[in-house]
Amino acid sequence: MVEGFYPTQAHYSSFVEECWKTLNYGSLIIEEWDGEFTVFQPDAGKTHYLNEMSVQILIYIENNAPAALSTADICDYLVKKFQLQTDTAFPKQINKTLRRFDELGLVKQIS
Amino acid sequence: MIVEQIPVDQFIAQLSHSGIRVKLGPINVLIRTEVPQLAKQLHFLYAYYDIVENEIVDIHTHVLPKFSFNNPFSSFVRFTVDGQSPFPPFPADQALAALEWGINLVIAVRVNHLLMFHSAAVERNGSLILLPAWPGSGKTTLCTALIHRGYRLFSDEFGLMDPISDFFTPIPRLMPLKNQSIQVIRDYLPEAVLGEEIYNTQKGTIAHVRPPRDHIFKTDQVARAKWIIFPKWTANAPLKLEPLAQSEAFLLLASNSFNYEILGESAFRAVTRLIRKCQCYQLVYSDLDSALAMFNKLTDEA
Repeated sequence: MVEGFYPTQAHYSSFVEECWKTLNYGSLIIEEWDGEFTVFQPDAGKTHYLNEMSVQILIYIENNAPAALSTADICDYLVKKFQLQTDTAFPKQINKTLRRFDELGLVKQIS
Repeated sequence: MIVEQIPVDQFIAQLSHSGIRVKLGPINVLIRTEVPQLAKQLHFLYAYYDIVENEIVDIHTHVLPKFSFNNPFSSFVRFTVDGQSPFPPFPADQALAALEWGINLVIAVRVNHLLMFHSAAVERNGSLILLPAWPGSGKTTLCTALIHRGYRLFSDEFGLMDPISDFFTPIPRLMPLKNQSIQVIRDYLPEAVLGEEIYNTQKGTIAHVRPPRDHIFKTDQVARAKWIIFPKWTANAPLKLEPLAQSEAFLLLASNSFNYEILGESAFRAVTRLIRKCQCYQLVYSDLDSALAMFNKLTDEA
């Protein structure tokens, strides 16, 4: 976890510490269309339509494998990469995205 | 041999006995019926289709009279495919609509060696225009106008793409005009050949356009797509042709396909190649003259 990122929001502390790894990232077929992405997931036979930030989440987690990354780590990376002004809603949104990825079998939460 | 070469009485007899095997593009269909009115309609509207005698039949259809205890004085027909009936009975005067919908349904469900889009498809100057659209978009009306003005019919319903070679295969079937479109085409294209009007179907009044003879004869001439145009007829709207973002075109096209999920990775790769090679547009139109002028300009510039 990145110290000082959201230290004052005690109720965030649980989910920003959740850690994630990709699942079968190497099997994904990713095509870019001017900043939008189509991602084919052979395991599920599904096609996902993702924006650049969502794809960057997957790439960043994969690039740090085998280590798992926390939601806070990922948020910190995205803030820097996309030069974002963050608020308290941002990590919530990223966590929601990660949980959705988990449901889809793109990432898994590491307890 | 083609259907019109068989005398009508012999055709009717053969349909009710062993059936007739006709070639609909890449698919051979056996049609049997004991309904004389349907047999006469087929003799006229299927006039130019090849009869295949020594080839494997892909789809076995049968339209047979059905007695109803609930409506003993009404006549109904039942459509079956391989002995199974996917629909409730239809009024007898809707037998042709039942047969056409039934064949379309079976094609949509069974043809999984090709990637299948819910789309009209026409060819000009060797390149294909794919016209994917949802019901009510005016797809059949536009397609009918195009094929009577220099474009070759591939289909008004199915874009059939080989997911390996990327070639599209023609499957020129009857084209069901609906409701006001029937009179629009009668006025705009007096030379178009239409079947009888069929009233009170689940889609209103229907009349089938018979594809021109040479379009049916060229069903072995495949083509690759160069344009993907999503048409939408809107009353009184000025013609508007706008480029469509590739990501959006991908989403629309994949969700418009009948069997994208069944074909999996090969479908994903095929749609990716298709979108990357094609110019993608959204078209809004209200009158056929301006739409045809736009299509001619687009395909002339290629």
